[in-house]
Amino acid sequence: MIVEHFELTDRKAIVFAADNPAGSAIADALEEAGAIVARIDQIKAAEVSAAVEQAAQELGGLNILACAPDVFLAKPVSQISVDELADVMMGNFAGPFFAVQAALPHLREDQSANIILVTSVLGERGLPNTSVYSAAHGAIFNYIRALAQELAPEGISVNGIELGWMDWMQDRLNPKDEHAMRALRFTMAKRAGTATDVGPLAVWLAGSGVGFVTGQVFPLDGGLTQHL
Amino acid sequence: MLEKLRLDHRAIVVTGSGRGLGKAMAKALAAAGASVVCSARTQAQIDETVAEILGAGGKAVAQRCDVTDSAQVDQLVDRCIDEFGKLDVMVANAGGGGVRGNWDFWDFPDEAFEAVLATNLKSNFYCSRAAAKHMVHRGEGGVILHTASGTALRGNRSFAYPTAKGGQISMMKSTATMLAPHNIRVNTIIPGYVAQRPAATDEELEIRRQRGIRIPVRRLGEWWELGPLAVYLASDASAYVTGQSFIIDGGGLAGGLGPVEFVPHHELAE
Repeated sequence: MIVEHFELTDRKAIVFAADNPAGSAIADALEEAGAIVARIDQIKAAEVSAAVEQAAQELGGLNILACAPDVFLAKPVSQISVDELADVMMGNFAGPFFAVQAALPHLREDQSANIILVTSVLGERGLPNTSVYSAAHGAIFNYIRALAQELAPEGISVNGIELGWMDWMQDRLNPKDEHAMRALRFTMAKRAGTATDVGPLAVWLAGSGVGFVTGQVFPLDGGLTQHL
Repeated sequence: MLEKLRLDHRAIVVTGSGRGLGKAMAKALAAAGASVVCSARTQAQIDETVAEILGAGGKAVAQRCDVTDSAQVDQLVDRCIDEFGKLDVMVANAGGGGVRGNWDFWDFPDEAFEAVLATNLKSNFYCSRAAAKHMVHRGEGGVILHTASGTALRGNRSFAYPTAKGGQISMMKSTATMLAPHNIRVNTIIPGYVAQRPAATDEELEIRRQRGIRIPVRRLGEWWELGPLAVYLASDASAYVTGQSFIIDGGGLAGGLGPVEFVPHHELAE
């Protein structure tokens, strides 16, 4: 039995980057809650608008947009090329930006649509060698805040899910790196998050109980960002 | 994975559940399957909350408690253990503005300041301590949930209340750090302007409409809107969430750089 306000029967959702663990978990959770979900892979930003438009047409409407692209790069700032900068900014920021733009005409048909953008603890904190990735996710943080203000009069909520160290992030947490394993122990929870940690929060943010919540980024980080 | 949101066989104390947001959370938690101890100072009000939960097929008992008295808070936790065999979730929600008087800051009296701290900060310490003691000894983890206020995050003329609520948020982060090894999660719900109950008159409805115009979503929150969030945070669905604040404020704190009518526009800038 699904708990009240976590039920999404016949709500129509697009999940962009549904081929990565967070996006896939969100798509699965929305489906479990009863939504009809169109899954779009983590494609290039330039292709996102057309893919979202096509998916919305096929769904015959749209109530929920979730975006979870994650294009990581760890390099000293002096070694980052123009192309690498573009890839990371486009992949992490421009992709969701254009997904929202394409989804808006459809979301506006609904009086209580929901936008959910998955981001990272690196959007509010920094680590060495993550300058571009952190900047791209910082852009997502403030995109959420500004977009929430802009769309609030139309009943569209815009919120974020901020991932901490997740068990699939071996590109930034190499199991052979002793310091990376210390970083995991640095969380209050003393473990990495898992894909199943992501779904229920997304369902809350997509549901009928979230109408007074907008412009917020909700950490899913095992307490990582809240202790010294 | 959504079955994780169910609270069947969970024993939960909700302080300040005689009315308003606490009552709404108690009802939502009970509807998700929890057994709830409803607590407040006024017996008649918690009896009413319990009656509504029982009427909806839920499980609840009433226990009178003044949360500014640590002995009464300890008794409250004992009552939950007596009734339901354990305490899984403490919702330390009771609090309030409390101070009548319109002093300038430099004239603010000791007793007024202390009263606000007692109601809003010491009370949360007593509730968290009593809950943690039981949960640590029992060894099966648990959840402590606080209710703070958006006023804690920005400057506000009613300074004692935001000060106490800010202290509460800080305490939540420290207790989350200390209790994480015991699998006890501690989080805070931060409501903005939320109506405590349905409007009783058209006049009240109009006052709310006027106040709502200043909020980005153009309305006040409603009492029931904390319920789904409380269920999420009380349940295993939020197993990886601790030490965090959950703001539910209609977008106010994400903006706040001007009145909601202030919309910069590129055509005007040309």
